[in-house]
Amino acid sequence: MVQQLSLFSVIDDGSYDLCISTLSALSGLPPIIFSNFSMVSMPNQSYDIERVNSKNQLIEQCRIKACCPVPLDRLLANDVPKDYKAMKKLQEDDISGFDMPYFQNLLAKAQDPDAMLTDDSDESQVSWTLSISDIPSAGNNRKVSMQTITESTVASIGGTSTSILSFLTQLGYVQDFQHLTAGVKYNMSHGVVLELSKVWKIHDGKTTQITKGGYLVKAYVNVQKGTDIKRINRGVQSLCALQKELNGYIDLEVPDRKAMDSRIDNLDTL
Amino acid sequence: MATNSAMRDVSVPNVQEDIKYDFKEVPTQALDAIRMRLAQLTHSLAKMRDDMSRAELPQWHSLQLQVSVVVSQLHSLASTLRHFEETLDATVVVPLPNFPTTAHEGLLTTLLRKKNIPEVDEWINDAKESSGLNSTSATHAEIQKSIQEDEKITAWALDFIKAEQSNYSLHGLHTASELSEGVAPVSSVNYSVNANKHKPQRPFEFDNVLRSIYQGS
Repeated sequence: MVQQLSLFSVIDDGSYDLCISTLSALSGLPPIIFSNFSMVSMPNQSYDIERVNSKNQLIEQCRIKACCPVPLDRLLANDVPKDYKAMKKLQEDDISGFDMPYFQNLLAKAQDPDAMLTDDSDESQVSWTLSISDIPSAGNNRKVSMQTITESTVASIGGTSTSILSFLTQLGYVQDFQHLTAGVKYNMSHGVVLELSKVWKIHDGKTTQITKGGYLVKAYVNVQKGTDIKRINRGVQSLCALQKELNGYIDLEVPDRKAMDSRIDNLDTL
Repeated sequence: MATNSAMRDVSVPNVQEDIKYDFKEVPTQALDAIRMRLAQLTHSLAKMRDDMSRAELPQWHSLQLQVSVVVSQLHSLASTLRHFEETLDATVVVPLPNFPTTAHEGLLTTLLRKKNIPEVDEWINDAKESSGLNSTSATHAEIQKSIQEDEKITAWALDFIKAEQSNYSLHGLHTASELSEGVAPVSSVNYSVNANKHKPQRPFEFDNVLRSIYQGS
């Protein structure tokens, strides 16, 4: 259970270079490049899932996000240097190195994280992270968005089929949608992480960029316990300090909490 | 020297030295002021010339600094001259009778020369020609106007350069020798638009992206 405090903003493609220079100067560190593949799954609706517990309380059904890192080679041609400038090659819907079978393989191939293979390109060694996020806390005068995230890393999968897909199927979940994220992040002071990312939706083996023309900016602080008020307050303070510092350049804002709701909208069928 | 003159005083009483000159009319204040300005100017110019004649050229910024010092000294000299213009125009320079005219004829002619030396004449003509004005036919007002226009253009150019410089953030600049050695390729990446004038746009709403990430819609 992690409390994630976050603020969001958007910058356009043209501002990327300067933004990188600014943030590098601000954080005193070079950007860290990352790229993730996420597969979001939802409870299998063909099962008759009990939606109230023994006390007759409603139980919300949440999506599960399975996320794994993707080597940048999978997104970019080999001759492109893999530094922050490489992100500028990723402005279109199509990703030059995108290869759907690779991702399908990632999902369907037997997972064996314990295998003592050293070949990085082996899909069976990918470590998957599962996370369920609640809707951010309500409240009109919140300075930041606060969301509870439950996260776990899949260490090993037992049984006859050891792919992440079959694992989720056994849990009663089916694939909902997939997306790819690539970007840079900065570790700012006081535990604040600032991410600039591009997001693609994968549908029918094709990628569609949903951050077209710009980058999604996310500043967040993770607090380990939701009951740790002191750390949460400090995190809010740090985020607000960053918000103030970037004010006028990147205006960090609290997002609509409904936009960050990963629950399944099926209450009307109850 | 002292003994010599003393001896001469004793032996041949010099008529000329007996005459008391009236220095009251000499515009000492004006001359002193001009002399001081000129001394400063010649000193700076000499220093600059020395620097320039060295095997290794001085740093461009120190040179620029020296030039600006020279320019301000020139300006101060010009304003001093203008200030004492009337006095100086009304002053006639004559050598004192006791000046050793025969021994220092060269010095005397140099000091009393009112005509410009040929070199200076050449500079003046050169400046007149390059100004594009016909100095014989142009009136004073026309010349003034042309100078003002020149100043206007200079001021505009300066403003323009300043504005352009603030529009861009120049980084990763390399010297000519670095470029010729191929250390850094010439690329437009080094000149990017500055943030002062440029606020990032918002090509999309983050709420929509978040909705897409969390709900797939």
